[in-house]
Amino acid sequence: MNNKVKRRTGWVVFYIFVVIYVLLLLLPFIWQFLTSVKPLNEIAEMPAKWIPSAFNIQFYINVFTKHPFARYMLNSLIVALSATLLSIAVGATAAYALSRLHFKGRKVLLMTILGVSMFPTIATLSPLYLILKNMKLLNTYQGLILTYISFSLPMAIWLMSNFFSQLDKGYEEAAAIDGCSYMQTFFRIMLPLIRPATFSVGLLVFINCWNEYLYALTFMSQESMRTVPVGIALFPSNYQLPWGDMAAASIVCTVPLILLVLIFQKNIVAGLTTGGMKG
Amino acid sequence: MTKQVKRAAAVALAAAMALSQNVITFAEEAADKITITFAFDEGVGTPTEEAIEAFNASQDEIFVQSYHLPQDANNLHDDFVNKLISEDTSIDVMALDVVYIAEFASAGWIEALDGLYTEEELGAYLDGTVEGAKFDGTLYAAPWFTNASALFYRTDVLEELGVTEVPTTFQGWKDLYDQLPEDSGIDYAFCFQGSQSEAMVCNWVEFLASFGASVLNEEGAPACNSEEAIAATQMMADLIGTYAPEGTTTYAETEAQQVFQEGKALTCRTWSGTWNTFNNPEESDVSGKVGMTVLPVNAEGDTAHSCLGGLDLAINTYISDEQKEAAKTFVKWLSSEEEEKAFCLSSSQPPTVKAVYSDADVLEAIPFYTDFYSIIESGKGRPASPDYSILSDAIQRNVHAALTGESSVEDALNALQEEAEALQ
Amino acid sequence: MPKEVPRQVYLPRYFYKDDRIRCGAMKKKKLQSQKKEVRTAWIMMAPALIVLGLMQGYPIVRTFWLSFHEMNLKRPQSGFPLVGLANYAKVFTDSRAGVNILFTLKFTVVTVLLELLIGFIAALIMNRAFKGRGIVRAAILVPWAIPTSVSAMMWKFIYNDQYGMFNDILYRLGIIKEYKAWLSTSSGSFMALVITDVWKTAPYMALLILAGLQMIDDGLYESAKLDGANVIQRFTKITLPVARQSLLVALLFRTMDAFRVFDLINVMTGGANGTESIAMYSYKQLMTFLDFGYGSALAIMIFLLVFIIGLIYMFFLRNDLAAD
Repeated sequence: MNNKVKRRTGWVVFYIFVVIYVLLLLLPFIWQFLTSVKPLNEIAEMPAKWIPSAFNIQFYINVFTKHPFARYMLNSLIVALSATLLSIAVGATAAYALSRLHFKGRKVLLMTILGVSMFPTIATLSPLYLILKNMKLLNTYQGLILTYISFSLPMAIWLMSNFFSQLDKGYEEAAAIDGCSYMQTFFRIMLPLIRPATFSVGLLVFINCWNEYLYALTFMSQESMRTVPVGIALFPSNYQLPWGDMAAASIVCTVPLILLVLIFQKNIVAGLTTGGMKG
Repeated sequence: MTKQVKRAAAVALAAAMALSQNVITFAEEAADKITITFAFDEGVGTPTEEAIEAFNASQDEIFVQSYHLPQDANNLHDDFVNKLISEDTSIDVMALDVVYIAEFASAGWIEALDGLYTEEELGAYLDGTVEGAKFDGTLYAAPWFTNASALFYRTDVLEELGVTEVPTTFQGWKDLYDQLPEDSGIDYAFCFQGSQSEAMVCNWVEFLASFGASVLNEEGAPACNSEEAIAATQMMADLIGTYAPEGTTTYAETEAQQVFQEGKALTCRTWSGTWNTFNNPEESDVSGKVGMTVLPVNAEGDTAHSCLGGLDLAINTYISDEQKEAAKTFVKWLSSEEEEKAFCLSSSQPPTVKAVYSDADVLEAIPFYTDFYSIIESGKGRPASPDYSILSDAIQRNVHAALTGESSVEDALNALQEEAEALQ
Repeated sequence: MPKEVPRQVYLPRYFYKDDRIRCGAMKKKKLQSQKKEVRTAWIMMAPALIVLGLMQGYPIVRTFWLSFHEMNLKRPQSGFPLVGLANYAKVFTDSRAGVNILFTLKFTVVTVLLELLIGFIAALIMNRAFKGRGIVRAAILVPWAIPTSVSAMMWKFIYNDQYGMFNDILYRLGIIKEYKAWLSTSSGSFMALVITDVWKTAPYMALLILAGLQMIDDGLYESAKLDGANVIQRFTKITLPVARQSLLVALLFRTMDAFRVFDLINVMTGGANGTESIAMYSYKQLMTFLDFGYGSALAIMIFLLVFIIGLIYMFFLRNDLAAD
């Protein structure tokens, strides 16, 4: 009985902690949401109105009628989704080779890939522009996708080779005994084993791509090719900072991400149930 | 179907989707027209779009398409630089901030426009704006619109106090503020821009001017630590936290304007085009109670000089001759008196053609232009030099340190003077 | 061909059965198999290496090359001559670069440590099974999901001295007597930047750590429980050692990112009050002053500094990942 009580208080403490933590974390977001539904003249009012006098959806209407925001969302979705899937595909194969196969120069390659990601991104802007221009990839999805993949790959490769390296050697031995090729071993055994971790990496890559600003601004100059962060940056004019519109837009553009997490959360946290651990 | 296959299919699908989406749409592009691209920022996005439409409707040889950039002079500058470094031809005409003309001309990125206007035609433009569009004596851009600051104030407060004469000195405004009753709701006498930004540079240049100082002396040598400059900067610093909000050192235009819009300040220094925002009852608590006057000076009898800004039209030097001719036609059209008038009416940006200021329609729409013309005429540009950006950065860092009290005014200006001299 | 799975391998049955049928027997000489392994490895890495070589390799090589030149784009008449190491020599005499590097280091250490702490706690929460965890998981990730360009502006607004939320809350709680201009002082700006960066990137850290936690076999906890290990023992004996590697990788990537911080500070303070990061300075030299020679040299210096940081982490990781 005593144990049960103990466990129950443990849960209560846990929930209280989680609620406080989440509330603190979400405070700015809640504020942003309130800003997006307040009447215009209450946005800058002090002391702040935590409960708006009226519920105003005008800013949300503005987001979609004053700007081609749906188009921005579509562009972002295409670019971020493609970049994520391709990064995972390309990254996982490379990570497997780098962590499980034996060949000369493995360590050097791993270090080089890491080294590449240490370069300050701001210095790559104009050379990349030149590359994409020569490849005629400016104002195309492929151009931005290619850029994003190249920035996601080092992290994806490192994380996934880290996961692969923690798997038991016995899997491959058993597979080899059964005559599986390396590719077969990879696709049929190793990849499924790191599946939950792959979802986490995918989410990381997706959000990074979804939020990227500088490259999207520079490489996509056509109005029809703009992505969400650039689109929001296009809201203000000389004499107006449409704070309500921007707040509404930032709420709208986080919705797909929240949905994504809710849909895939089982996959993200499924964890390993089989004996996948080393040692 | 196994999961692997499904996953592979998803990847393939995404890749195919990406590849098939190679969309480059040139809206309404007519095959027999020369298409030129005009790049500008959202600061004046909608009015510019209207002007382009009018041009396209009037033309059967040239088609102009627009390229929008976020409202931020830095964004715009960096984007143009990236394109021009790689000798890009995707933009033909750009709306460039006046302070960058010398830099772009010096780098050889923009086309010289000598011959586009006759001397007589140039005479129709404000002298300062034409000078600002020149580099080494050659015209490199067409003045499109200018920008001048003014002091906005609360007419209702002056009325209440029974004041009929609008003060002209800082002391005069301070005195008015001191007379206000406790419950007036007005917390500050002034609000202006003091964040580490180009906006602050403009404010500082104006403070210097009201004390009779300037960044460069008549010989063009830096004079940042002259006695008058020190006095001006000292007063600017002293106002913050007493007569102006403590947060002034974090304010750019929007933040300062917000304080005034909320009715918390007696005056506000900002660009003239803000008139419409201040008088829009939806956004502003003080609409209908706003007046506009010249910037205050230190002592009676001094003249105030507003800092001039604005955009010029420049042409990419890497485009073909045919494109250049078309671009010149468009630039000349956009900077004509008629179009400047139309643009002034739709954007409330001050034009560069002098005659527009006395146009009856314009005066009806923007009555304060009668007084405003003298502000524009006496306005001062920022130093025109290819190295302006370095000078501006030095001003921003050192003067901001003086405003926040991180260093003393004298030390800060001495450091600034040293940096400015190193540029000579 | 042995039919029994070696005892030390805990391979799920279905893998084994399935593969035995499809893969077919293979009896190749060891040498041949090694050759094949090397070839397979390169084939598998090829796509990644091509993309990285093109999109990352070229910019790096080009920046290196530019850093040995005097190249002020505003003075094309100079002909952009080769000047050897002159730009690097300038870095060492440029006190602004030195100050910026020190600030960046301070910022990096403070934010990464805080993010590690908060990220770890968040990861432990996310890894636990409880009612409503879907919502909590999504909520934890929200700060990171808002584009930086927007969240930096949002936070700038929050710290505003006239109508910011930060002042409102502290005032209501009685912590401050009057509204303050947080971004107008050195200490205030630093605090504001740290809070914003930690708020924004702790979820990223949490997700990286979470991925590592997932590699822990639940069975380990169960058996530890049976052995009578308490919560703290389970944490230090199982969670930490197993998550150590993921933790280090997460720290490595976060540190490298933090050291290159740019847009957050650019929007919030513009580098005022001694908050200019070295990446901001490099960008300024490149894109604002158009000095591509010196700006490139600064970029390479950042690269080298980050590389040194990376090597330090490598030292701790050497027994894990880079070893055979």
